[in-house]
Amino acid sequence: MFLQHSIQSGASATQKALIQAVASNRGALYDIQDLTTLCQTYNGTSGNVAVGDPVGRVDDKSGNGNDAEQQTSASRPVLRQDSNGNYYLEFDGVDDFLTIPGSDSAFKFMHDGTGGSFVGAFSVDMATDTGTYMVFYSSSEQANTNTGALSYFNDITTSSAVHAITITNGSGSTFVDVAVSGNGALPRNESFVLRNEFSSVTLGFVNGAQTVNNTPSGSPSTANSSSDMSIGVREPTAGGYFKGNFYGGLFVGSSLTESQAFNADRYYAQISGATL
Amino acid sequence: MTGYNHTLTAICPESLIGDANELMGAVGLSMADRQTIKQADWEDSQGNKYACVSARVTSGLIGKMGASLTRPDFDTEESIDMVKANAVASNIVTYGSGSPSDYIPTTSLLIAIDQEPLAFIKDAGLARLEPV
Repeated sequence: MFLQHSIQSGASATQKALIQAVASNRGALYDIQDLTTLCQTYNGTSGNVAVGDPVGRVDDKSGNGNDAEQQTSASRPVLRQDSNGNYYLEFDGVDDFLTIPGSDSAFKFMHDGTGGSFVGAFSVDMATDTGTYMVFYSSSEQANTNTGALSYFNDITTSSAVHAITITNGSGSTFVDVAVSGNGALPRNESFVLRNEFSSVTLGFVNGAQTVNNTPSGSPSTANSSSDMSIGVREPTAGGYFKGNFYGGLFVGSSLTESQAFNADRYYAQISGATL
Repeated sequence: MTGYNHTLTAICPESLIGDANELMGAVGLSMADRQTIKQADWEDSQGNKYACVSARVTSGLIGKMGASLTRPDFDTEESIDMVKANAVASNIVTYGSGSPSDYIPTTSLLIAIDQEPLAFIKDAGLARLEPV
């Protein structure tokens, strides 16, 4: 029923294809461009969200019910609109994040050796800061194991160490380096589309131009987790907050078909102001 | 038109987190706001630890922080410690253009209004403690 509602709500053909890709599998799809999926409060008691308002819940448009939410008022990202008319969530890098309740079990593919795929669009704004940040992150109970982390930036103002993390086997931190060069080469405040498919490919597009094409190494994680996946923080109890803008993304417990991947790359570039 | 037209950033000494969360509950929107201030993941040059929060807020909320607080309607079980909430509120220090750099009170909540959050926190002399 949720799926039918989502598909009939004016989505484009590309959007419908993406929704179908996630709806037929385990995962979630967050579409910030669809304001009907946003709510000021986590429990849906507020009215429409306007630009400048905090966002306490983002509905999972796939119909799988994996809504992302933030119960604490001060930790909610803010809805913004860029010069192209596209909407995004602004994370302040201090305390903003969203959590996907129940994702420790719903997204078990991040921890049971299956692996998954992520495609999303965001821009980074860390000119005044350094550190580690997460767009999507699923922690594990194994020390130094970045189980299921999917976008990680390390000290980009002073170091060339810029990473996009694949789904690892948990033996330390196995990264897939984003192929950018030089200090601070990751673009700030520009469209960055990342597609990460386990054991297949990590692709990155900066302003529509492909700058990353890596093959992840390692095996899918089997490091157990009882923590829910977060958007915008590494771990809510330990910090690592993302400072930047999130336009939307999907997360699914399988590989994408060539057509699905193409549609996803194109759509997420478009909503973040680029063209593939 | 949104009513969230201010940015409020607060630096909270680690020892004050519990009491400051009573204040956050008292001026917040639900009981969940008693968990607003989380880990002390910032540190000054002396090794003192602090928690930082930042949010878009309404003018009404800023006005509340400077007034005598009353128990919010949603606190039907009277869980919020209003004595602690008012004690923290009455000792708030507001960071302004005349404030010295690297100045952080160790027993009060330091707040800044309409300043870029991370710039304010760094100007106050704090460095982030990274998760391991």
